[in-house]
Amino acid sequence: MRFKIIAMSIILFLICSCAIQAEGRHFIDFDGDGFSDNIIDFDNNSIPDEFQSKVKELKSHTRTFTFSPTALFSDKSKDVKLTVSQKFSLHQFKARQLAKCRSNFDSDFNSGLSAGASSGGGCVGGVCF
Amino acid sequence: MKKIIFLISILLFVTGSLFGQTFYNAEVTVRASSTDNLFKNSSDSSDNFASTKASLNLYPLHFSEINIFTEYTKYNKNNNLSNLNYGGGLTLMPLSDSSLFSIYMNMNYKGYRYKEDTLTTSTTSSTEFSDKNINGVVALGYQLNETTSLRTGFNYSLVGYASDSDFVSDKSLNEIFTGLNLSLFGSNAIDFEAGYSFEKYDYLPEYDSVFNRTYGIDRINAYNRLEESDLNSYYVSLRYSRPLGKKTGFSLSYSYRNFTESKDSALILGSSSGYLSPWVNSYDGNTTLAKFKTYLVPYTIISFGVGYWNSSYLKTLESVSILNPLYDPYYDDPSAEFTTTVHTRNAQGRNDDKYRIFMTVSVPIVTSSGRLFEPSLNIDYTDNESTIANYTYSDFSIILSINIR
Repeated sequence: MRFKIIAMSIILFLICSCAIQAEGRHFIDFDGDGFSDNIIDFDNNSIPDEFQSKVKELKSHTRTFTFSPTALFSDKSKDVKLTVSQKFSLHQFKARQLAKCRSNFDSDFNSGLSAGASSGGGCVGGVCF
Repeated sequence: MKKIIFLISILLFVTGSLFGQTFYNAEVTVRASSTDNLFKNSSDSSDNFASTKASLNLYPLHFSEINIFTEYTKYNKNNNLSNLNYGGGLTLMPLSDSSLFSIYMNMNYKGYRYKEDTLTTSTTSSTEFSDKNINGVVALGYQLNETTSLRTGFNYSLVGYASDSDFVSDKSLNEIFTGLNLSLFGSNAIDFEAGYSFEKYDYLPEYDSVFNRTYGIDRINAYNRLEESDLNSYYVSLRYSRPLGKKTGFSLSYSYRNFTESKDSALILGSSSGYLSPWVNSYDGNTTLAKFKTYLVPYTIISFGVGYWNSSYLKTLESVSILNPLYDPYYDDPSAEFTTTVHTRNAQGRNDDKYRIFMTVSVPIVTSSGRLFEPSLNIDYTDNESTIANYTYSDFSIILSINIR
């Protein structure tokens, strides 16, 4: 009986959970941060626009690092002519589930904070940067 | 040579700024780190180190990217670990945006050149040597529908053994993997991945009568007795993630890896060189990791989490130096006072239980010209209990960094 109650609670929690959809687009989370990858981030600062009181108006959109593929979902970026690097960024966005595969356990099994030859970069608790 | 590379990097960075970066981009990262246990063992060796990294991305075609980078890391106490890291990579994604398939091909090369030093007997044994890492991935994805994607691929990696010795082999791995990502009931994401890896390693068979010596066998003989064997393994990984409220995300992941066959009595020479050895991460076991990411503080990204690792290592024992009973201080060279021997009979199994808590705070700042400045603070605490006393340790580490791109 107790097991049934727990199971039903979990199912109800999942069904009734507040679905944060990115302007009607489906929820997809390839990078496992708990947020939809399709949330619009116009200035590409990794903070979704809806969580910022003011999004920086950029004088130039030619840089790849400040080009957000999700911004193409917004009205602001309609009819934008993309540069070569931005087109690549768009390809990268589409293939992000492949680039972020955890096949070699570098993130989950890494020995940690290290700048040695065995790991190459800094990883803290499974978060590599 | 280092100065030339840095000058070229700075020149490209400045040039990139002037020409609007339509076909290339530059990035600089400066990092300062402090740890109270650099080698992750009972030695509790604290150290501070700082690094500067400059990288450049070129886009000759819209589906290709060429990356080159250089990074210099300076250690405060362990100066012989200071190194110049350099390399490059090529990424190709030659499919149209409208295709349901996606393909990702990537090849990377990393080289390390360590600082010259006269130190020859530390656990790091890094006098003057270079090292190389090569990694290649080919992955194919298919989007089944709006919320479900499949992926499969092949991964190759070669990690060089950071030593001036030719006796210990590099670590080479071939791996195939496949995975599935789907969303259920609105905003609940499930990611499953499984893979199988093929690997070779050198091991020393257990003690036999040929080398029946009181003090074990000497290092050179031990190297000559190494035999090659398979070290294949499989892994499965499952992750669940979802939002918790509007501004917080949560993920829970579980991973399990198992060696399908390994020599129970084996030991890998060189593996306990620790910090620089590619064999340090050769273990099987499981990990459970809970992570949170929140935007509750304005203009700030805060990530934190807790993880548990249960790891079973291959039996390993590095050479040990013991007093030479035949040493005569009047006739022998002083270097003969100690002999370096390798024992195989008493190689111990190592099983660790590790707990970690960690937090990352970053404040990305975008300028009106489109430049991004991102200062970050990372804090990490680790507590590790091992069946071998040398590997029972705790560590507290802090990293401060700023990324400009």
